[in-house]
Amino acid sequence: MATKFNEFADLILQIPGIINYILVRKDGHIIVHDFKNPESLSASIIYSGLSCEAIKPMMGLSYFKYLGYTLKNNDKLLVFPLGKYFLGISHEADAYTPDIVDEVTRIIDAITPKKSK
Amino acid sequence: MNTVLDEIKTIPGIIGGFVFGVTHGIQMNNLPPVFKEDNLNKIGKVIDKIYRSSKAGSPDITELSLYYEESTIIVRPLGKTSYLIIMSEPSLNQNLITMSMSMVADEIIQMGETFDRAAENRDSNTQAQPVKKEISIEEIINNSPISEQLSGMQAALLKIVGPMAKIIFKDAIKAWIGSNDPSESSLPRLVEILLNEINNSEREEKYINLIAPYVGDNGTDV
Repeated sequence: MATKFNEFADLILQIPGIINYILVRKDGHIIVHDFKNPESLSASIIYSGLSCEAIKPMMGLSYFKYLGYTLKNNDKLLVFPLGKYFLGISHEADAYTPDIVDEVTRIIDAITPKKSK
Repeated sequence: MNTVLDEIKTIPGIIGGFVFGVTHGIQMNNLPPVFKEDNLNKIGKVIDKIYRSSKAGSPDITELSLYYEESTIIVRPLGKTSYLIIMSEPSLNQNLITMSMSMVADEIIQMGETFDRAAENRDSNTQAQPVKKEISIEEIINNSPISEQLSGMQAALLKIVGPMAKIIFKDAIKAWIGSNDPSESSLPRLVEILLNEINNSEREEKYINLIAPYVGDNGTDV
């Protein structure tokens, strides 16, 4: 299982412009990461991600796609829901966020099992 | 003051926005009436928590954006106590919104300073009670007649919500002592606040069972 997560992380890191990544389970367990201080970051990612999901019924929204933070140096931190997990990635300021999002979403879609009807 | 919101709304794809103050709720709003103020207040509170928890992990945050299938929500803090929250169609280029907000940056900064001053004036009229309560939160949790119950409730919350339990519990205590005397008799109100935070019926039930030894039947009768 650890190998699968590492393979997933390798795919993410191949996207041009991505600096760091972290994959956390919704109960707080850090799965894989390459951030310097993952503990505080993981807690805020989980709390923020769950809060974004909590907003959905308040606004009649159906699907939370991702959360984006802009930092002072214009680097971005993106948080994607991934089933029982949240994926956090940071990317460079001059990388085009929609392209990064498309690439990450494509990888997530590729590894997410499709439900059979 | 509404000029900034109205200027931003002229951009095609922007649905509207509102300004949310942490202590006093909606300050300004030009969203369509279908967005009820009750819901906007709830969203504002959640966004405040997202922002503060995000700052704990990444102190350099200047802007938040929440992307949903039907809409995008862009959040920019105004000073220390308020947020400018803009809703747009999902296809709108966020760089356009960011650029537009930058064009009216001076007015946004002034708005933030105005709301901060207003919040400070309101706080001073209540004779510095909020500062006293900040100190009292630690005393209540660690050194009061109900410390044992509160410690048990906090430990139980850790099992339910994980690492954010400490922050959530502290926020709940703050809200609880805002309108209640912190005592055993008002614990049911604290339980109610915590259950609202958990916001999941299965987890709420589990939490009630975990805290039953500490709060008794009265505390779990919510």
